[in-house]
Amino acid sequence: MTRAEDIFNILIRQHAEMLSAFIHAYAFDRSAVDDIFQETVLTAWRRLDEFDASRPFGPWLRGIARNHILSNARGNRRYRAHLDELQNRRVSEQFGRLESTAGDTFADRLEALRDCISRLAPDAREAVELVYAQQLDSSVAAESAGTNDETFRKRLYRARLSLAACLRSKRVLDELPEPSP
Amino acid sequence: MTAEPPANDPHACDDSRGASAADDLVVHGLLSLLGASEASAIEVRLSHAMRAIQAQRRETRRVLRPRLVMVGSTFGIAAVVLLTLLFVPSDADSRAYATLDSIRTAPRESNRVYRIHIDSEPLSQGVDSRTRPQKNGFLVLGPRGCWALSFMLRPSPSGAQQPRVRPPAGDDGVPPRPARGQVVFGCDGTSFWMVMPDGRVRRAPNLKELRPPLIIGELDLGVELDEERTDDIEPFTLDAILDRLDRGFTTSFEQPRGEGTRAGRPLSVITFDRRGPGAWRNGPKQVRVVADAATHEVLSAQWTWIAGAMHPEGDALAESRRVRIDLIERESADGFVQRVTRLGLEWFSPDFHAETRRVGDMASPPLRVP
Repeated sequence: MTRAEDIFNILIRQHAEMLSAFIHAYAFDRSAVDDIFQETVLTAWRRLDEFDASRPFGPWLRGIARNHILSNARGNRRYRAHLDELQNRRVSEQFGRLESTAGDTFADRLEALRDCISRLAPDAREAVELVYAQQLDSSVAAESAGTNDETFRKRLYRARLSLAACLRSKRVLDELPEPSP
Repeated sequence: MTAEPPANDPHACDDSRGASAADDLVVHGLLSLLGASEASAIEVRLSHAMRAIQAQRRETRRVLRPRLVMVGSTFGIAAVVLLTLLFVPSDADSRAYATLDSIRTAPRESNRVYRIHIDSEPLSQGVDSRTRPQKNGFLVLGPRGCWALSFMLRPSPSGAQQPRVRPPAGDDGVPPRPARGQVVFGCDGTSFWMVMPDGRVRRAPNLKELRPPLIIGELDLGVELDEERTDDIEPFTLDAILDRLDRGFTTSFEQPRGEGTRAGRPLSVITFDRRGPGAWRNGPKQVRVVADAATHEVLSAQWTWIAGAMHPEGDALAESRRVRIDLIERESADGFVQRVTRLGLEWFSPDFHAETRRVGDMASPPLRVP
């Protein structure tokens, strides 16, 4: 492996969790994440000379990933492509804020998320546990939770909203902008 | 998390847009990292991605290696230029490709001699550029992959626009004293060799083992040498060059007519400009090759790159460095070309140069430069 590859390998490893989480935010399934991840890394390698070393690597990598997501999303329902520019920007900014928080690794920065999960109501925590930790299909998770699909989805959605509010209160995520009058 | 959009889609239950929805996606992404198999999935993604990069590099090598070897063995230090030209991005002008290929495959019926000139210029204004050292040498290209390059390691005085030229050896066989700090290296068609300043000859089956960084370092080409590594010890090795293959250049191609052409014939001018600021920007910022459009003979080539660093306040600690090669027309170097021709392949043997050095001859060609 060449020195450039060594350096690049280190950089990509440092950002692999962040990149995976970022792609997960837009992708509907894991194979879609795998595809975008590989395309992003390859593009980053090819365009490494265009990267300005005086700037952080993460936003540059996310920009490449987002372009791949948008280009793949055309005629492909594996990705969320309906977000407007402001929403896309906010997703990127929130990931940037996460990167700037204390912690040696991106996983370290998820401690706040784990703490927020522990504060969820039992049924919400169960929903998160079944879908995200155990990676169950939502219908299977609903059955396991003893409820129907629709109720389970709403429960999961509310759980995420609570977690977002919790992370904002911990300053891990930026506050919501003031609602316009 | 599985392939079933509505379950995890925040928009399945709420069409509201805005920051809250964006935060929901962020949380969704973060939660995905908590999956029992996500850590191993990330490892697999990394492994696949890095393998894809290596496969891409191998493929690039497979396609380009024959060309690189051919060009490299033919051109010596000029190979650095021409190999750099092969770092052609996919969107390069097809005429540039065609011309490069023509240059590569053009028949070589006679020896050619190039004058090499290296200089540097501070980027900051007010610094006297005349104080910058200049270095000069000659490259002779022969048949069957033979080439020889001689260089003065000691910089010539500032303002010396011409290579250091000494009187030609007389027919009586009494040559002038050798120049100190002169190095000659080349290829006799099968192996590489280098005559050190003290007259010792080093041979190697390839340039990598020859370790021309001894020379490259002296030439101060702005190449980073890492003594701890062997895979990038010098820019001649294909590995080191291929390492940069994926770095982008913007290509332009023109065939100017009129003034500046060679004997009224059109020229092919190919210019490569590096794209982007470039964090890893070893190598040239620009490469410009001028060739005879009819014969595809390279008439001149110039690399330009930035060495050093820019001071944060804007004062330049960096300098612009240039390597330029110019074909010396037969009329200008007739004596030398005749001599090389007379000696034939012998001229490209290290023994010839080592011996001539020992008896006081010059390894560099005693050219009569106009």
